[in-house]
Amino acid sequence: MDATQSMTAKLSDRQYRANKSRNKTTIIAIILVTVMFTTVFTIGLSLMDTKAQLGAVTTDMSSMFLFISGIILILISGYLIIHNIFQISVTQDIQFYGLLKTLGAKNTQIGSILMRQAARLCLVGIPIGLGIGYGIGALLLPVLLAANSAIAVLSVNPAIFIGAAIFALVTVLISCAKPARMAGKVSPIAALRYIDGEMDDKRKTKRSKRATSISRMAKENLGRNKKRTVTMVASLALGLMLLNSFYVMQNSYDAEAYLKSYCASDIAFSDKSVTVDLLDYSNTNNTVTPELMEQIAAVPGTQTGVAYYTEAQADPGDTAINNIENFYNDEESGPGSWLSSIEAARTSYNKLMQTGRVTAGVYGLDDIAAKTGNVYMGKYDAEKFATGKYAFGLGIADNGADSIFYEIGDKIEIEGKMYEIMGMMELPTSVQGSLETEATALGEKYAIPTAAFLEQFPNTPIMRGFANVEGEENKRAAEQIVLSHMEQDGNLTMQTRDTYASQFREQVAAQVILGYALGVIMALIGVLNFVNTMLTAIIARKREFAMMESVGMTKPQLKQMLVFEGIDYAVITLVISLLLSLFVGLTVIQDSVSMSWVANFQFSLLPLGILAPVLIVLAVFIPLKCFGQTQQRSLVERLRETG
Amino acid sequence: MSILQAKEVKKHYGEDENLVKALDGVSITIMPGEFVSIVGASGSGKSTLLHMLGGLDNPTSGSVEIGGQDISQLSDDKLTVFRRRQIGFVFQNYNLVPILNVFENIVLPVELDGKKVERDYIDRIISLLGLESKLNSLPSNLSGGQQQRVAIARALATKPSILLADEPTGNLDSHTSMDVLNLLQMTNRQFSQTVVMITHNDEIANLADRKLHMADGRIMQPLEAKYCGRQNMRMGAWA
Ligand SMILES: Nc1ncnc2c1ncn2[C@@H]1O[C@H](COP(=O)(O)OP(=O)(O)OP(=O)(O)O)[C@@H](O)[C@H]1O
Ligand SMILES: [Mg+2]
Repeated sequence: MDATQSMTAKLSDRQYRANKSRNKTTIIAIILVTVMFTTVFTIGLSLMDTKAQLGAVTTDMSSMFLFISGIILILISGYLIIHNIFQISVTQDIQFYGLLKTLGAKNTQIGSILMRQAARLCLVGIPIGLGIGYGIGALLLPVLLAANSAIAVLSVNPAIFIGAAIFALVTVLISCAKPARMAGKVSPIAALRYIDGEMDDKRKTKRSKRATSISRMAKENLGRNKKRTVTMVASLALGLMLLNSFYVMQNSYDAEAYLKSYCASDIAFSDKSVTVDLLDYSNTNNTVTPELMEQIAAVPGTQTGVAYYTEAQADPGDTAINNIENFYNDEESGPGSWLSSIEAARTSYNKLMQTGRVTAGVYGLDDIAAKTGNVYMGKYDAEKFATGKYAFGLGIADNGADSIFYEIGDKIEIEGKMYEIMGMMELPTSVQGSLETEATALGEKYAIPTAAFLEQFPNTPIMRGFANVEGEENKRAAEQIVLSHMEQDGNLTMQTRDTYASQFREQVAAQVILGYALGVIMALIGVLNFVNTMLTAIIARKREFAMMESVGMTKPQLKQMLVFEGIDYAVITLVISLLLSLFVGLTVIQDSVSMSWVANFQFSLLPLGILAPVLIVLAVFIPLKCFGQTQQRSLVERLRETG
Repeated sequence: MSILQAKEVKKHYGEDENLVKALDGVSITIMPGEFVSIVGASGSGKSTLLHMLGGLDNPTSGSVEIGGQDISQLSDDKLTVFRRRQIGFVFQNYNLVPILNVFENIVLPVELDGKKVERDYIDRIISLLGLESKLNSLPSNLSGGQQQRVAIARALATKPSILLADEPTGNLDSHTSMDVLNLLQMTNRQFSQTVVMITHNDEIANLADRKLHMADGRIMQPLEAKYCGRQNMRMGAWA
């Protein structure tokens, strides 16, 4: 090592050791940033490993997009704090750098003193951050995958650590590049006379003539270093915005919409083939027995219902046949090509066109089951329906014109019996299952009342049983009955509203948990930034305070000024967070939420509302605490101090 | 040829009603090996002129040449390297590096230049200045006079061809002051070093080859003694 090197190394080492508390702040910041990178990398790579285990190797665009925007957000928030810390420390040490310059240190030598310290801080902070981040990733992973059937595979890919370390290092390097250049570029004599935030002499001439009030002094202090104020506010606002946005996302998921579709009753039970292997529903397994239904109906406060299913030959009537013909002849929109690519569909179609008959799915529904349907054409009239003269066409509610196959009053024929179309409805998955057999490839499905169904298709076993039970105890009792039957018949399965609800909550949590985690860490970074800025500003102004005190400003007045300053910061931060949250919430979040059918966009500012008082309290508490620390020595001592 | 030359150098601070003309058109020429002293009232611009001559600050107008080279033409780094090889500074407020001990402070400019420290030479300066027992102390533990001696040792460590000293004896007793002056005179002769020294002490100022008098940002004492005029006598600063 030549002498130049050893001198910058020595200076860097001494300066490092002379600034213990500053180093601590910086290390905490580096740890937080590394934690975020490592968590995101751990989860990203573990998800890839988990998918690989399921045989899917493709990474979809949207999760890639999330991953990249996460990395960019972390880079920004990391830059905001680390840059701020280095900027402050260079400002504090500007006299030192100016002095070195007068003694013949080159720009690069001065820059390298700072860079060496940064490297050393990274050496401490990054490994700790990697450890904590991996831990957090490992804890979050199962939550993220809770809704999936996949078993979480915690990746041990070294790329996690290498990647996160590189990103953290890059963040630190970017963050201190400018401060290092600033330190190198100082003009020697100006630096020796430098006072925080007053580099340009012009300011002094612009003093206003108005009387000085304490709150105005606080405002002026805020403006004293605009850039620092901006980075500090930005880093805090970013965290708050993230928390708020993910809350809006979580809040927008609508458990009711999900439950209505997946579980229309408190309890539903059926043969496994209905839920597990949809193509092979066997209505010969007599799984849901009449005894089971009776036992459950005997539970107090219980209303039961059943659904039957069979396939039958039907004449859907002229309107429907015309609609089907038009639908499949529409070459451009795809159904035509679907028809030509699927053998069974083509066969059915040709048969329908030649004979006017089609294989249809026929549901026998009692009132409780029929009422779960989403009637999108016509009206469900329970009494009329029960007469057995009417049928509902089944379809998908929000397919627009393609959902309408019939007109009210159309006559259809099922295995020789005529029915009149009362309307059309969409049945929830929990009633309909996803029965799509090859035979019913054209999707003609009808619902008729159970009595009429059993008359036409006697001895058909129950496909599904439902029960709505009042009271927790009764509900447990009813569930117990199904469970005991399940022990005897392995083909019986049960879904309850509660299991669906918790499954839904898990799915939603999985969507937002990483966002919350990042939001919390970013908010922490923001608070750290606030503490650091406040503390260094107060330390830098120690002499100024002592001077003010010596000319008659009382301590309570000084404190009042600092509190005003803190509150100003908090208010600015909250306003910016509010604007950011509104913007992000109404664009990105609304867009992503509106794509999901179980979500109903619901904007909220609850997290901001909760955090606002917390922030204000911190804004009052932190400056006072920092001020208290500088007040332990006598006035004369503080006046004499040069730093 | 001159080693230091200032042409119509002005340095203004502030604006409008706050305008301070720290230097208001100073022209001087200093020849190699000359020992020049500068005297003048407080605030007359002495330190400012010295900073300009050493290229530590840029004049508002006018030019400074060191060894025939206009320093405003030099890049920041070139100027820095030039300065650390050619110029030694003793600052009015010492400007020691607080985190380095006395010895490290003294050899700092040498090491920044990537040179090997000449132990013999450094030891001689240290003993001449009586700093042997303080080599491991930090500046904050030294008295004002001791700090001043460290600053002098540091300025001499690179054997600069130009020494710019701002009140190098301001904090020293008369005995040590004379020792320091003898040291400066010695290096001045031995290495034909050019010395520009600010002082408030007329006795010391008079030991110089030439004495410049500053007032209100101007040099009042003409380059040759024969121009010594009424102006200076009226100001009563000419003992
Ligand atoms: N950075 C600055 N900003 C504003 N004014 C300055 C600055 N530096 C110097 N001055 C002003 O320039 C004038 C000359 O200052 P200078 O330090 O050169 O005086 P001096 O002759 O060295 O005084 P002393 O004997 O007290 O050291 C003074 O009025 C001073 O207030
Ligand atoms: Mg001076």
